[in-house]
Amino acid sequence: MIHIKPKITKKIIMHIDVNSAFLSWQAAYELQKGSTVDLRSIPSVVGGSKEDRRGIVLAKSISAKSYGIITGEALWKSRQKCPDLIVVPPNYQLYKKCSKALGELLQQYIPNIQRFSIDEFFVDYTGMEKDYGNPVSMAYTIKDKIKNELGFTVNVGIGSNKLTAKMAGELKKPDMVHTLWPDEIKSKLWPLPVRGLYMVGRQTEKKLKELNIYTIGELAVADEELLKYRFKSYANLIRSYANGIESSEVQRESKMPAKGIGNSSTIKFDVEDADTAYKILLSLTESVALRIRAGDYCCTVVSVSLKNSELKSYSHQRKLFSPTNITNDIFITVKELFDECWGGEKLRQLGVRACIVKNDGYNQLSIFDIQDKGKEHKLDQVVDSIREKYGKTSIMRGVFADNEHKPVLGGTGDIEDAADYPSISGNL
Amino acid sequence: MKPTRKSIFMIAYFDFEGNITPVKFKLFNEEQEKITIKIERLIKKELNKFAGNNMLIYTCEICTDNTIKLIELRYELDTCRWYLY
Repeated sequence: MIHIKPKITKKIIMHIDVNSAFLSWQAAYELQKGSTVDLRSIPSVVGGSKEDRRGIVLAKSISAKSYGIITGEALWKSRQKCPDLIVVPPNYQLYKKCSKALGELLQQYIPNIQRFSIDEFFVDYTGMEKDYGNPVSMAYTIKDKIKNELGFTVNVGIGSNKLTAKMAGELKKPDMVHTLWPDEIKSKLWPLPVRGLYMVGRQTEKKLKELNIYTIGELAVADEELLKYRFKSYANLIRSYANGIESSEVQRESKMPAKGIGNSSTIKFDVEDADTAYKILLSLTESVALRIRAGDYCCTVVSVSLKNSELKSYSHQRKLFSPTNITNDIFITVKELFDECWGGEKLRQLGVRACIVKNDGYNQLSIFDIQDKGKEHKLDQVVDSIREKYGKTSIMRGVFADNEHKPVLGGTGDIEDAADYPSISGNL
Repeated sequence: MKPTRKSIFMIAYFDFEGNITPVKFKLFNEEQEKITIKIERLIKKELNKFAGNNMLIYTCEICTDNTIKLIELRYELDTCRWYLY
């Protein structure tokens, strides 16, 4: 009898991450338009407008970083740190175009790629050494091609799974190639602060510090029982991540189904009365319901989140009696929730969020339902198709006729954008 | 910071293969007069894909005031606009 031993091939995964993506893309675009100054070489940030009170830093150049400017801080704070700071507004259509171009370029070489977020890609290089040679030299080829052809720099991380590839890409920026093979984890990954690990955020960092865990290495060898006691099932995940253990596949175009859809908006002025708040909530509900229906979902839980002028946020949520995707039905609950939780203070940001399940086409009727749901469904369908064809503002409710508020609020642009080009993702 | 470019009116021909060849263009000068410039010779044509924005860049020779000059014309594929750089 002949035994054929299956050849175990080591997986090789690459992670491609654009260096300060929004800023690099803007810089490349400006250079193409004929600008003589490269935004990346001067202190500059991409940020919202001050008038709209969306003045936070979305992305920064390397030289802005040296002034101590951090992503997410208020623009006025950044200006204090660096008075000559150049602020450019965000342009999501451009980012989408760049992301698409990057995907197409990678597709020229490698069949199995995954868009992880708008500026990150995973590439499965397993078994391709025969065609393209050593993964490191290939990574350099890809990196340089992106730089020459598309005009922005990327970091390429190479590892034996998606997690190590991603962590390798974060090691040193910009325009670099790093490897993080299993035997390098101890020397390269473990000395880093625990916050650098994927899935460890601000809150987890705080809790870990209470347990005297400051580096990834300390987390990797930490007592399992102790972590489990503090973090429950999440302990397993972060502990195996710290050891570089992760086994998900590079999934081509298949996304983890979303569990919830939500939109929120920071308002230009402080909202003081309920009527204005209702209007804003209604316009948010419109965009949430539009996205629910576009994905053929139904909403089961509705939640309202508020942030007051002192920047304190709170939320309130309720499970619906039966799943629905009718804008009016969702808004009724949104209104109830708002009335129950609003303390009457000035509001700065409002948000509506829905937990979703796939629409099965059935509706649970209740004896208290007076209105004909079929009619409402049809109305929503018609409104959606008009909006799809002629734009979001082509048809709107009478309350928005005074043009004081946007009839459909939230999001960055097209309806499908949020699903196809997420700016951040929590699942590998 | 300010881009040194100008929008222009263009006459170009498009052949069977989809190649685009600029022929002549019009622009407004400083006195707001319309002037027409004929392209004498095409030197180079390349595709620039910076920031995912496809632009055809033509380096051409033109003749104005009896002197031959090199200029750069760009065609933005997404917006179908011509620019003089």
